[in-house]
Amino acid sequence: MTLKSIGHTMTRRTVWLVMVLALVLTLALSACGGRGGLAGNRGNSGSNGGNQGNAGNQSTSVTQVTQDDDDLNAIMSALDSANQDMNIDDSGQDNEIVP
Amino acid sequence: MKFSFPKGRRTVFFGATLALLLSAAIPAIALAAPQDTRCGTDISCVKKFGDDAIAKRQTSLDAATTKINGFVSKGALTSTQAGPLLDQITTNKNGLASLKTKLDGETDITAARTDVKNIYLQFRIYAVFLPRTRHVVALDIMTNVDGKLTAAEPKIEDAIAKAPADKKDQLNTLYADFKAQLKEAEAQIDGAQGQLPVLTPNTYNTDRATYDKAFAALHADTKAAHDALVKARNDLHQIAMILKGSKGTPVPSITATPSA
Repeated sequence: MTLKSIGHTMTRRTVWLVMVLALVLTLALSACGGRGGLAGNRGNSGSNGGNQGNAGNQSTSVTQVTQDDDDLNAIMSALDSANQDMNIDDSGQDNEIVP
Repeated sequence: MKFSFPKGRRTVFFGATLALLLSAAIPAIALAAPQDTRCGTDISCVKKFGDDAIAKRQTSLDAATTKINGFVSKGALTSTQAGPLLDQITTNKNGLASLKTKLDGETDITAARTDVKNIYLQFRIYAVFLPRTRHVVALDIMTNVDGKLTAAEPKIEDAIAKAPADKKDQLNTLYADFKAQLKEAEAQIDGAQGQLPVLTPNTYNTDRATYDKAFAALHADTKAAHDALVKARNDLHQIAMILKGSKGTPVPSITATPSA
């Protein structure tokens, strides 16, 4: 292998490396750009939505209220159980018996 | 006019009167006598009676522990709320265990009977401790329900503000009742908690009238708080159903629960 051929191989490798790096960078930047674009679109639709925006807002607040309502089921069931326990009267078992 | 009995008749009459008096007096004497006929002079019988009574109370205390831990695992009680209650149960269990050790070691039947009596007097597990604990558990859960319902207020207000105009009156009526019920529940919870310091074995043993009055107030206030919270929750449920309906989901029939 001559010195000239070694130089050619090194140059090719460098070119390939630069190309791969460029490709990776392009992909990464385009991904970031895409996300930024989506965010921008979402922002626009929120501010320009008009009736559609109101419907969305109402929907969100209704969902929050119904979610709170659903979340109460478990604790209300526990409260019913505790309320029933409150009515237990076994105080007669503390009537003194001297054996 | 003189009234005279023949001698034989007089004796019969006297005998009959004496028999009548005796028959009336004997049951009264028997009732007034100390109830120590169950075991008589058998100390092992007294010890067994006491041990059984202690075991029964330990089992009831274990059941209370299980119940409280169950409420914690369901998220109805916080560990902070459960902690002091579980500590009190442990204190009673340890106290009963010590009393059992003392009773089992007694060699004098009078001392053994005193130990048995102390199972009632010192602990009052069934008359005081468990009923009080059950009410405290209910009050703690109610405090948590009240917190959750109060936290929903800004969301309800926001949802009503964005609701269709034709639903707003109905929603506002329900929301007004919701807030009134929460206020009522909070007042009743405060009232109930105010009775707790009176409810001790000592008050039960020495001032029963005061104890009974405080316990009746605790029970009534706790029940009233429970009822108010159930109504508030019902209001919230109806609000949620109406709001859902305004989005196109069918609304079930509504029974308004306005406050008096």
